[in-house]
Amino acid sequence: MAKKARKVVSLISGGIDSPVATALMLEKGLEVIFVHFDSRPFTCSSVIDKTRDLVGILSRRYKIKPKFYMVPHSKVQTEILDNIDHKSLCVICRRMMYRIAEKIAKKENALALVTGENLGQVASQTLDNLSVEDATIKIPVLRPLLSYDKNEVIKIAKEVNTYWVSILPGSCCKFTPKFPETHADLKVIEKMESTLNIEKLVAEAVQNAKVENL
Amino acid sequence: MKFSTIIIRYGEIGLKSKQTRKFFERKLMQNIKNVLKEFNAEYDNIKTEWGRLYVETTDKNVLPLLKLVFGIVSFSPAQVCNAEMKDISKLSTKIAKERINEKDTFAVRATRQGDHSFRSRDIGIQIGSNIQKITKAGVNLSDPTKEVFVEVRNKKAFVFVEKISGPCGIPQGIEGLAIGIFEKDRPFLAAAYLMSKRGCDIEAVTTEELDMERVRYWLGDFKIHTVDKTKDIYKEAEKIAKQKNAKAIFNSDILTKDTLDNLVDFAKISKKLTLPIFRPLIGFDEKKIKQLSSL
Repeated sequence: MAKKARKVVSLISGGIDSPVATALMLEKGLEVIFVHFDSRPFTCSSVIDKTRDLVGILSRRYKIKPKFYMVPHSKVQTEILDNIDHKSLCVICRRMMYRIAEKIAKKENALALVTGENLGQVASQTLDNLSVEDATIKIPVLRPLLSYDKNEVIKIAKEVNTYWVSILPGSCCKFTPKFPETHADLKVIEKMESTLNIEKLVAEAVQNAKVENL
Repeated sequence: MKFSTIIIRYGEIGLKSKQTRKFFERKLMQNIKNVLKEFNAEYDNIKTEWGRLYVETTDKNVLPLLKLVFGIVSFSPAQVCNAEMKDISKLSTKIAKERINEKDTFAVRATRQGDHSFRSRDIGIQIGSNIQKITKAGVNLSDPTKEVFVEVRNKKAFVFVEKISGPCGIPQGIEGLAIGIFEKDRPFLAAAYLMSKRGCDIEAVTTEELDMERVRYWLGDFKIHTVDKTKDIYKEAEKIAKQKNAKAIFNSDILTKDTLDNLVDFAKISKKLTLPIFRPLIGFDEKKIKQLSSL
């Protein structure tokens, strides 16, 4: 029982922030299940290797043998691309990731999600956007880096040794529109999403996820 | 050191687009003006140029106030002269004489923007040797006890000796309103400070009278809603948030190694709300939270 109450699902990418967010939660003694959204061909294939390396670095540092879900995401992205105003791609893509991760959390008896999101650091992580993304799901989202400045995040990334892998080339997401939505409105986003078969997409993603044991 | 201008540095690494940058600059300038006005500090002019803010003032009271303005990375009280080598040399040796003695080691740090007959390196060499002659101090570029900074910008040169740290973060008000749950004996000052630091205006919801003096010192004036003790403070906060079109509620929850029920409690709160709940303190250790609570 005690163990179950410490379990979380961490959304990890090949970037700087999510490994640091996860490291901070591992410091607090939480049990982490990793989830990576495989967005190839919208990202370069090096992202996958980087992410595996990052999970490996954290596993060694915190002496854990984590479960690692690799979730195919490009089908969801293609659906979004075909049906949604491109300005809102990022917000809806993230809402889909939240939904899928919540499903995995339920399956694993995890109580919360962990993300590397930060308030105001980039144009897409505004209070409005985070709010609309958070509204997607019922379980809490832990954002350890919410109020960090970027230089503080970089400092920790260096301390936990993830920085050097995170800055390797291959963080590009070609899915990002030129001018992403910065002030999303929940009602507008929900209306846009009504053109997607969300339940089916989420169920398929969870079903097709591959569990890797590192 | 006397000064006639304060150079203010700002900006986050993530501040990429031109539009976002302009918005950030404008808000930061307004917030600086507001705090100077609130504390009756005097200044002649404030402007943005070359990716910096410049406050023209000789009022020493301005300096501690800049530590209250989120978005400021660092600032330097400076003296100004023409961008001519002889003027820069005269001013910097005068400043060095007041501050550097023969027991010190020093370095001259020069940067330059615009068209000039000299390079940054020339400033370093020329002024460094003048200061050395006058003060008898030794040069040490890697770990000096004193530094003299020269920033040449077009027709002007700024000379200063220190970079004072600001609070960093992003200007308050950029992100809009977040409603804070303030509970007795909890680190609500730390939580409110961090939310403001990341650009939020805040309003507080509480069930009893709390000592807000320190919070007000750091965040300026903000609204406090006192709600009935018998009601659910989160539900009440959500009602207020919806009225005010606030997009999030935050609290001072922390995450510790010893308490096993943290996540269960978090889940209970999230379940009863439709608005997101931010927990700005969960990523910090107890030492940092203590430090923020005693601000």
